[in-house]
Amino acid sequence: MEIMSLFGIFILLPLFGTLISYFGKKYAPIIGLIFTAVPGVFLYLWYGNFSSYTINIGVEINLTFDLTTWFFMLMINTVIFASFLFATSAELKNTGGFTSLMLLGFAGANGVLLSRDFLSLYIFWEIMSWSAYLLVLRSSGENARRYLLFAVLSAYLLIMGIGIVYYYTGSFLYSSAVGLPQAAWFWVILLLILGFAVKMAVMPLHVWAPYAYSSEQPFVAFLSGGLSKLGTFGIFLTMFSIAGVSVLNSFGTFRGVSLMGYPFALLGALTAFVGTILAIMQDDLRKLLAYSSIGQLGYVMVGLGLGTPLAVGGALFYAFNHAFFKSLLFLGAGAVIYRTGKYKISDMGGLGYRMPFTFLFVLFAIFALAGIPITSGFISKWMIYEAAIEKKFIVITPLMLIASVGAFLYSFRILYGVFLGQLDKPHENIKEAPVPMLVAMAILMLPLLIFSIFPGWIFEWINGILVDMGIGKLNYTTYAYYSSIGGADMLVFWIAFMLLFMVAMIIFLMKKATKVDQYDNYLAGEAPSYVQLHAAHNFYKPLRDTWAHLLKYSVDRAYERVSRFFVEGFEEIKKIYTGNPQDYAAYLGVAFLLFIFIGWWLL
Amino acid sequence: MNENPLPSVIPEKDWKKIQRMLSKRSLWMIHFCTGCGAMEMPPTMTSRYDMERFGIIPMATPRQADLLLVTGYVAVKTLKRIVRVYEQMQDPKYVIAFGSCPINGGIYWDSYNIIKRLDKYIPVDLYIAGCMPRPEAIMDAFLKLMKDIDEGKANGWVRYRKYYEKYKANQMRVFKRWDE
Amino acid sequence: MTDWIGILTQAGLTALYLFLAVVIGLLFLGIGRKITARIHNRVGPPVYQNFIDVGKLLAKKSNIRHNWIFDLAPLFGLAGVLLTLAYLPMGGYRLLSGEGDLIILLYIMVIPALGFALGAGASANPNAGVGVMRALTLMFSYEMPFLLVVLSLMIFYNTASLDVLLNKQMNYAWAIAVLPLSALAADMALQGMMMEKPFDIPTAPHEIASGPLVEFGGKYLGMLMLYSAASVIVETTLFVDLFLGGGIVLDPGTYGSVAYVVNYLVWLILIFIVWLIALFINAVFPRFRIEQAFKFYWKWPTIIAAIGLIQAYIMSVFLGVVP
Repeated sequence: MEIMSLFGIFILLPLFGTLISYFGKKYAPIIGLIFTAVPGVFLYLWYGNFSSYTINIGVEINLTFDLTTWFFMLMINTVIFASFLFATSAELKNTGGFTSLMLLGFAGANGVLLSRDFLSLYIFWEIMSWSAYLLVLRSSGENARRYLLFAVLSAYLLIMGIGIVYYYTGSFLYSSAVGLPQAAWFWVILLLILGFAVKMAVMPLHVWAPYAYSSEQPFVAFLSGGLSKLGTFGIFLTMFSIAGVSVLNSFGTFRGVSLMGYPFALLGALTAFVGTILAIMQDDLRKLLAYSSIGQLGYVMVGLGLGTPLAVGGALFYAFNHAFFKSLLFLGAGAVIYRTGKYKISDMGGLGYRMPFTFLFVLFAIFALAGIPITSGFISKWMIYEAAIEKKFIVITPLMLIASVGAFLYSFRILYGVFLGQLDKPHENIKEAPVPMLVAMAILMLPLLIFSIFPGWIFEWINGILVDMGIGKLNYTTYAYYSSIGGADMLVFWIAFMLLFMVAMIIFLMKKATKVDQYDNYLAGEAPSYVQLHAAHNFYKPLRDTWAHLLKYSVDRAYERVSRFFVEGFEEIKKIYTGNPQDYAAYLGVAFLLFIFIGWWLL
Repeated sequence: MNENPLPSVIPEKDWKKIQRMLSKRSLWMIHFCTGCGAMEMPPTMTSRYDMERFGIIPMATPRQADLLLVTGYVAVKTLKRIVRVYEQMQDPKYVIAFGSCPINGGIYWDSYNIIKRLDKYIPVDLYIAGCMPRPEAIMDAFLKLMKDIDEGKANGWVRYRKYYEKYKANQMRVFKRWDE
Repeated sequence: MTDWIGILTQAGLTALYLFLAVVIGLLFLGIGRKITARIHNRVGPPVYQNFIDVGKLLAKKSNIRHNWIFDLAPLFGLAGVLLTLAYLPMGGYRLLSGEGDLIILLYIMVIPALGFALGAGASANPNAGVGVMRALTLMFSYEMPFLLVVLSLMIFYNTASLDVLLNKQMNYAWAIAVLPLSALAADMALQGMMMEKPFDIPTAPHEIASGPLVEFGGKYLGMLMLYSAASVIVETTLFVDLFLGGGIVLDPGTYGSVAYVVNYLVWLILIFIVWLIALFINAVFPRFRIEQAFKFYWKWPTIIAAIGLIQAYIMSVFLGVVP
């Protein structure tokens, strides 16, 4: 496989697709499907063909195709394919623009994953970031402004880090970043990780996420499921490919974990906890999923920060699972929003009776989010917990564990508020989501199920990545996985679960049951034929009331206060321009005297 | 009336006997106090006249219960709720009526609002005379109901199913509208 | 994979232990009612009353259901709780606990609760929604001290597998002697986990018409009663396994099958004692509101559990105590 085909298929092809799908009108998503399916096919064919390349198109771009790249490209490709499949029946406005921007973002993402030097990383990162900005702009200018602020912040942080590396080594290649002094490494790692962490929406750099995730759902599925993984990839790259384990350990270790990584692990645990708490309090479905996304990516940050093979492997697996279940959730939310036109949970209810397949897919994604062992979401959670417990961390682990319990709370809110409960009269004739949406969701659900039964298949890839980067090895078989303090066997679990489920079914089916209407409910003898009796408003009121004095502190409002401080300061400074010629003459006189004084004092 | 799809290994009579034993030793009453006799329920539940020793405990909803106690006079408004609650219970279910009001109207024999004969609207298995019957009388009634269940005489629910239209016609004559 | 006889015997023994666990659970519920009645100076129902209750419910002639999601509640509830029992060592017999550690157990414990919550939500009754909300908030409250306690155990014994934990307790000392504060916090959390007063908030009959159980009747309620009986065994066994050595007094390696019988009896006595403590508190306390329960759990039990965690950490890391 030569460089031109690699570059061509993964970068030039989507760019070409950007151009021609703009004029696609109604058929644009189908064109987008083709332009994402082709790289996917080649991704499958080229597994194992790992090497590095250089290409010169006026600028020298260095590319590499290795197992890490392949792993992340698998995630992003599948997610964007499912998003396009969803978008074929989502009736978006200006589908041509949507598809071309998505393909541009896809090209940028591929470029980020393929690059081997900082310059191409930065170029493709900016392409991806800007296409996402334009996609958010399609829904709301206000949200786009917030996203832009943080995207620009992320770009500046990256540039600063890259600049330091270039200053010391004179080259942009990753492999030439050796021999930097300790202080320089500190700043490089810090700036690069912070730059990538903005994309991953780690606290306190997360405030753009709830607003940006309120755009059109197929795009948000790609943004949250696909593009935030680029932040993960970037942090992984910085810590283990550019810096390497030896550099990280040269900062000193705390209980076997590099002191450079530990604060980020702590930050990740805090993100997981606070993100989950904020998600519990939400009513808007998209914002709830956004805060949930922030919380889940906190787990990935913990894994990356801890640096042991189990932790990093867990973080990679968690990123993989998150890509699938988060995009599945956003696509499910998109299907519901498409059919009902509402986006507040308290307006919906009982939709699961009319949209059973959407309900089943969202239920499965919730199982993966909560970490139920039926899905592979449990395995990644297990790995990160075991990594923290092995090294005996007593601040990170309780935060992660209690965040996981909090995830059950908002998961139930999504299921009950949207899909269960009482069906409201306006929604009585809702149809199931269109078939392309269901197929897209099914595609995303499959890996979660398969890798729960056969975790060994994905452990092979992750183990390969860890061995490549020199982090360590994992202990696993096809059905089981072990750490130094415990293990689990998925085959036994599945067999036991199936057998016991059959036992319960046998007891259950011994007697028949009659079906009654939802209005034939016990309401103390009352039987109104139609009253909206869905318990959805203020759902977690006891929790919110208990924490009312703590919820007053919000990072959102802190940022707003800072920006207001600057705006008011600038308003004050603007008062110099009084518009009065006498004042300007006075300014000139004062400045003239000042210059004479300083000049006389200097000479 | 047996909807059990499994082939019965136990002969029909024995299976019914076991079912009746299970029913009679574990009657769950609805804690749905309809009239002035509700005052006599708490003493029957508490330490002095403990009814839990027969397996009778108060349950919160009719879906979980199989004994409805109509404790006193029944106004038309209350009758609608009682009928709904009775229909939400699952077979086999029993009704005990307290006091003299369900029998013939009691002290409200000339009221425009009170039902004079409860048996016309829902099938009653047992009446307890008195105004109000004391807990000792209620305990006696429970024991008699358990004996009736054992002998197969307490079949109000069978009557309700068989003569459903007649009961509905009686009810509709008294209610103006069913769904408000 | 070719040892079919061994696998079949193990599966048969597992089934026997699970069946016995459900029977003992129903018996415990009945004994609980009897003891509560005696505390109230009443006579109380016979100890086999709960068997009659379950039999009556499963023999009901008509059962009401709302929709297919409603059916998931007893199915997932019963299957999930039996699965949880299979991963807990009972009476010293490993069952499936060699194939899964404490973390997978904590997450399998969620499966029945989740299925039950889904079925309750599908009943379309607002009481059910409020009830499940309160149950989840209660779970969020008591899990805070409980997870700290589990973490302190895992750090001190340097293992996450219940099997290894029981072995270490058998050789060294029961955990309750080494980490008494954690045991205290775990017992307080257990009161909430078992939903005994003062924490029986979700199924409060008078406040929200039994909460999630509001539309369940007949065979559904019967299976859910089996679920609640088995979950009593799950929770008490968890406490006994974590802190009281799982009731293992004789090593099966040296004593053979006699050890299994003796361990089973000791385990039975120990879970009965734990159940009695919960029962006595249940008999005399009124019910908390959900805000009070939440504030209580995140205050004193959490502080006690945190002190226990720090103690385990210091003993394990700085003092180098290796059990």
